[in-house]
Amino acid sequence: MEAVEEAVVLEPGVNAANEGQFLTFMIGEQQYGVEIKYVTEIIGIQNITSLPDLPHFMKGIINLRGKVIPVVDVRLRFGMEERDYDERTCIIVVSINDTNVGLVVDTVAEVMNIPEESIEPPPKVNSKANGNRFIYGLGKVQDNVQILLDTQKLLFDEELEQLSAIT
Amino acid sequence: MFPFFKNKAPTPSAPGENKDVTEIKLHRKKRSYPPGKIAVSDAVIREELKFLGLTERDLGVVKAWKDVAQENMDELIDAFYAHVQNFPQTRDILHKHSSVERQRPLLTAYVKTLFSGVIDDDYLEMRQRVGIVHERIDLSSSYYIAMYEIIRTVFFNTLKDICASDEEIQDFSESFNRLIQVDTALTIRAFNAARLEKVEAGRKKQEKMLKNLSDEILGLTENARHGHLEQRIDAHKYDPEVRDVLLSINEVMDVILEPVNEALSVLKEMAEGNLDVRMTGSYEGDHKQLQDSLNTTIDRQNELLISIASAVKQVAGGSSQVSDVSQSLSQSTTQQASSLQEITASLTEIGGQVQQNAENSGQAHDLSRETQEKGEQGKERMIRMSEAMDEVKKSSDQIGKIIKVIDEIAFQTNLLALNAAVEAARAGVHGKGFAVVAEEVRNLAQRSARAARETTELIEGNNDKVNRGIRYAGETSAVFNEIVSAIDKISVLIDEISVASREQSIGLKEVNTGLAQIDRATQDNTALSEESAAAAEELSSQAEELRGLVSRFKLRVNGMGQRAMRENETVFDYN
Repeated sequence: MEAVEEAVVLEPGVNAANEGQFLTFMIGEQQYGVEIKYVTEIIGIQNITSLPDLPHFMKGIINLRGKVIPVVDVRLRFGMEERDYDERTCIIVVSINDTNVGLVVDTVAEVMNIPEESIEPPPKVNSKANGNRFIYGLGKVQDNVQILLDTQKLLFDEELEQLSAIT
Repeated sequence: MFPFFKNKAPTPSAPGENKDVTEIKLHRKKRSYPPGKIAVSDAVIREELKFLGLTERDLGVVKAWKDVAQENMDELIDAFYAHVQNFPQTRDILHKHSSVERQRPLLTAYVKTLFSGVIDDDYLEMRQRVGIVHERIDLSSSYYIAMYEIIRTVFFNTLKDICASDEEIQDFSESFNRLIQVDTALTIRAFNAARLEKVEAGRKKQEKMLKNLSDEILGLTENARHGHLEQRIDAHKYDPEVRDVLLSINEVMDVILEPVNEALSVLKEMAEGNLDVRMTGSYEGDHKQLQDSLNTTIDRQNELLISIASAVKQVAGGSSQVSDVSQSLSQSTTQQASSLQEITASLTEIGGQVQQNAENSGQAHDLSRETQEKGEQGKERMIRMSEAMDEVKKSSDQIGKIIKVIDEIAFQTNLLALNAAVEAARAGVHGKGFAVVAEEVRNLAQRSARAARETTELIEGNNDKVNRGIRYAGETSAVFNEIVSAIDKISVLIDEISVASREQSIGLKEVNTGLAQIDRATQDNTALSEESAAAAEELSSQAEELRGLVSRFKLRVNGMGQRAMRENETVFDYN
């Protein structure tokens, strides 16, 4: 993460160039997007080693080329129905606050540019339930809507702390 | 009567002469009298006269009193007739055959001959006639005996009255007695002769009558023997005593003939055809039997003929019906014959069709066998096709696996491309070219993935189709099995059809044989029905003839006949 920070810091132009670039993935039929700057790597599904006493969306850990990385099932994180993993199931490794976290998604779609003007803020409804806390905005690409996720908020602090603790 | 009195009228003497005679004093001594004369030609009579003692002197004695007799003739005659009239029998005879008035001259003449002094043939003849006549009128000899007695008595009284001498009276009495006896004898002789003659005549007559009767009866019986019963004896030709017998015989003949005649007339009527006749006479015994038999015969004949008439009617009706039926039969048999020809033609056609059927069933048998083989082949081909389908399926599975590998590779490539894109994005401006390459790689990967996905879909579709093909092949195989078993059954059925066709063919031959027989029988029937019709016609005409014959008879329509008819009706009702 530091390297990324450095990259961002070091190469603002590049950062600028990175602005508006999203890696999209699928949960069910819905396409979600995460900013590409947080994405470290995309891998196929791996053997996940379960750990005790973790939140239910935390599936466990994987060993990625010697590095232990916690894995979050986005479906479970979003409170959706759990789904068996298959050959299409991917793990998007994102780096948040220098912590690498694997996000288990149904499958990865593509890398696309979504200009800033095509992004609308999330609707202000049901704030109490805190349902929209992960949503950064809604990207309109052609007739579809990409739900753009706020990777920072994708995990609670305490959760992140836990993750930090794990790593 | 007394014809001899007529013939021989005594010569009348003068009364004075008689007085002269009676005045003669008679003496006991022989007194001479002029003798009379016996001039009888018949020697037998002469002998008899001699036998009776009559002499010519006696005649002379009597003649001597001729005048006295002449003189007292009326008294003599009256005395006699008075005597005769006193007795009913003689009186009746006298009145029956004559009368006093008629007899008086005759008797007078007769008495005169006594005093004629002559006995000649005339004298005899007169006595004979008297005898004959008396015999004829059945006057007994006592009549003239009485007469002579009366004459003698009266004459004696006269002689006494005239005071003749006792000698004279004596002479006269003797001579007159002898003369009277001669007369009586002659008369009786004549009477007897006449009676004998009469008896003989009667006997002869009787004999003749008996002969006639015999002839008549023999003729009658002879005729009767030859059946001629009409002859009758003329009974009136015969005496009453036989007449009754003959009448009785005639009556018997009548009695015999009457029923015969009635039977004859009845039989003649019957011969004329009239049966409405009966013997109605009242008969007895054998004739009654004859009558009953004949009447019964007529009744029977009536019944019989009525029955025959009825039967003839029925026969006529029956024969007419038979004729009609025979004609109908003839027409029917003709139709039958044409029908038989049609049937024969149809059978020939059917025979051809059966033959065709047999051939067709043979061909069908071959075809079904071929079809069975083809079905078996089809089954095998299906099995092979299933196997081929399985191969295809296996190949598809392998292709699927390969495609999966390709897809995996494409996925990995896509991941790699994405990672490259992420890296390129991170590289910023420097990564732009790399990003383009990554994009291209990713496109290729996506195209590979899409191609793999499409191939997979195709293979999956293919698999589905192969599976379906296998299923269909299985089903087809089952269908082929069913077809094969059905063809088996078809073969069996065709075999049965073939056998049935052969049997039909045999049966048809038999039917043809039977039809030929029927045809012959029909022809025979036609001939027979025609013959029957002809016979019925003949029968009808003969029945008509018979009816004509029967109708000639006049039948009784009451009594027996009606009973017979009622019986017929009863019989008819019963039928």
